[in-house]
Amino acid sequence: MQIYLPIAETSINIFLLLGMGGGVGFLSGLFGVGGGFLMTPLLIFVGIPPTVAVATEANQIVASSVSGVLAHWRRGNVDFKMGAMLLVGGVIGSTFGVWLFSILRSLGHIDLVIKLSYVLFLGTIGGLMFLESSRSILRSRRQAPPKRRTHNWMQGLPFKMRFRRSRLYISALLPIGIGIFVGILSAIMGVGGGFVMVPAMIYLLGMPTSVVVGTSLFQIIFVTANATFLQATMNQTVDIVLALILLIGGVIGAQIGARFSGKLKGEQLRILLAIMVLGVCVKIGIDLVVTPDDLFIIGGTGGH
Amino acid sequence: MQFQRPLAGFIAIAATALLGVPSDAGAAPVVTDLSEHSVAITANFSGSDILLFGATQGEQDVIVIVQGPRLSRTIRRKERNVGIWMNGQSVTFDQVPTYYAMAATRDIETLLPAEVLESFGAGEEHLVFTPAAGTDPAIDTDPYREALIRNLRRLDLYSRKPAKVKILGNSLFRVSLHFPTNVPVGEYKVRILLVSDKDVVSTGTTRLDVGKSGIEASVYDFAHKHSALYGIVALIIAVVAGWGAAAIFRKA
Repeated sequence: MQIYLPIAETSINIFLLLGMGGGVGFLSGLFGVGGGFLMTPLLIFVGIPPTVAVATEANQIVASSVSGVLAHWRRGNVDFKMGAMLLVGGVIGSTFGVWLFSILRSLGHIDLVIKLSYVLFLGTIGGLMFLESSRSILRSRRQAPPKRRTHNWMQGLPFKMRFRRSRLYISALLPIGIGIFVGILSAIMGVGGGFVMVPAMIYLLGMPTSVVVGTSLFQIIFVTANATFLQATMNQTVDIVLALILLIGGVIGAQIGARFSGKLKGEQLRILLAIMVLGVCVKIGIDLVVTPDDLFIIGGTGGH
Repeated sequence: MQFQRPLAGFIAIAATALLGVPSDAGAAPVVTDLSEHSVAITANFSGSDILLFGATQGEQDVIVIVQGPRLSRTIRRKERNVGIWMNGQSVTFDQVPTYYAMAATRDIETLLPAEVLESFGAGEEHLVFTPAAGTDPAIDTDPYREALIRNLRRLDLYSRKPAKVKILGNSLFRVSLHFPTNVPVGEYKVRILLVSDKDVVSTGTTRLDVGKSGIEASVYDFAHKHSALYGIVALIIAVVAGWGAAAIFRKA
């Protein structure tokens, strides 16, 4: 059954969209990533204009993150204090990121910068996570107790705060710093940033994996809500009809995913996420290097 | 059901064609009609086919050209740098038809000499694309022009169908015009050329509107006219949907 999308100005199979929403929503609930790094390329692949894909995806992530956060919150897996600190950084970072985005666009190579940052960040994070989680899986087989990481230089930072849910006593500058960095990335790459934030919270802050997922989703709600509003007012590229279909599949998928995340071990979760992140990285990397079928592409329409 | 209303028009044209074919073919305008005069893009729009029919004036060939609204279009060339393909030189053309479809009774090259085809803009290769003001005169724009046409063809927005126009008897013609799902909105011009002895003996023009209608139109207008409110509504929908799903699943 085909449905015509009023802002994307194309028609597409409704069941394909529901399936994509459900699949990505499931991963979102499972890993605490917004899923933008998967959904945005998928939408473009099925023929949605890139500008509409990025903007609408932000709107859909809001819905699946709200749904996911509520599920995690009931299990006591959201550290709101930590989330608030990440958010402060996120607002600063994304504001700077939007400014950086417009400079890069005026220089003419924004597409390339987006793709290269996908390859760079997905590759680095996916690779590190894969190595670490496979090592800890091997360790747990040998029945050794899991080791909490501590970074000495971090303990020396000022503005120390107690984060009860995360069982941490660290400087507030650390989550704010991570928030700033993720905010910049999310503005440039058009994603929520969970795939960067989740590993940063685990490996840099040393938060327990169970709390990381809910807390990351909590912060993503606000960052993507801001992005949705800005895209709607500045570019009119948010397609409510497309978002609705995606989020119907997405919210249901996120609920199921959140249930599964309780059943899997932290290492197993991380290794699965690592494999997926690496897969997307390799795909984008290949597209950058392989000779395209047509060396010319249409680059958007001009004045109406 | 779609063809019921225009059937009357079709019969009327058929009657004129059969009863009184004008002997002086050169001066008479082409009598044609469309099965629909507008393409309404609604929620279940999956492309549209419109029937164009009319009368020839004796044994003639027919060329039909459908042209969509004109916009400027940019085409970029990809260049390889350090093993990576990146966007290189680009050329913007003004007044490019967003949609162009040509159908005829036969291969148009056999119907008319190249210069006549060119003067009527028949065939994509005869369309005139002017590079936008400020384009570097040193750039050879021909490859960009060809690439633009090639890309638009791949999007189904440009097409040429040499044997699509059917002649019924020897004085009626009909052709089904296809508008794909990605058809741009705006006013379309349909030109009909009657060809005899390598010359255009008569021409006719008719108009066609492509527009969003119903919910599709309302959403589009809302997004463009009240964009801040639209953004807030989009967020409310997202939050309510997320909350609703969480509540439903909690009970389950």
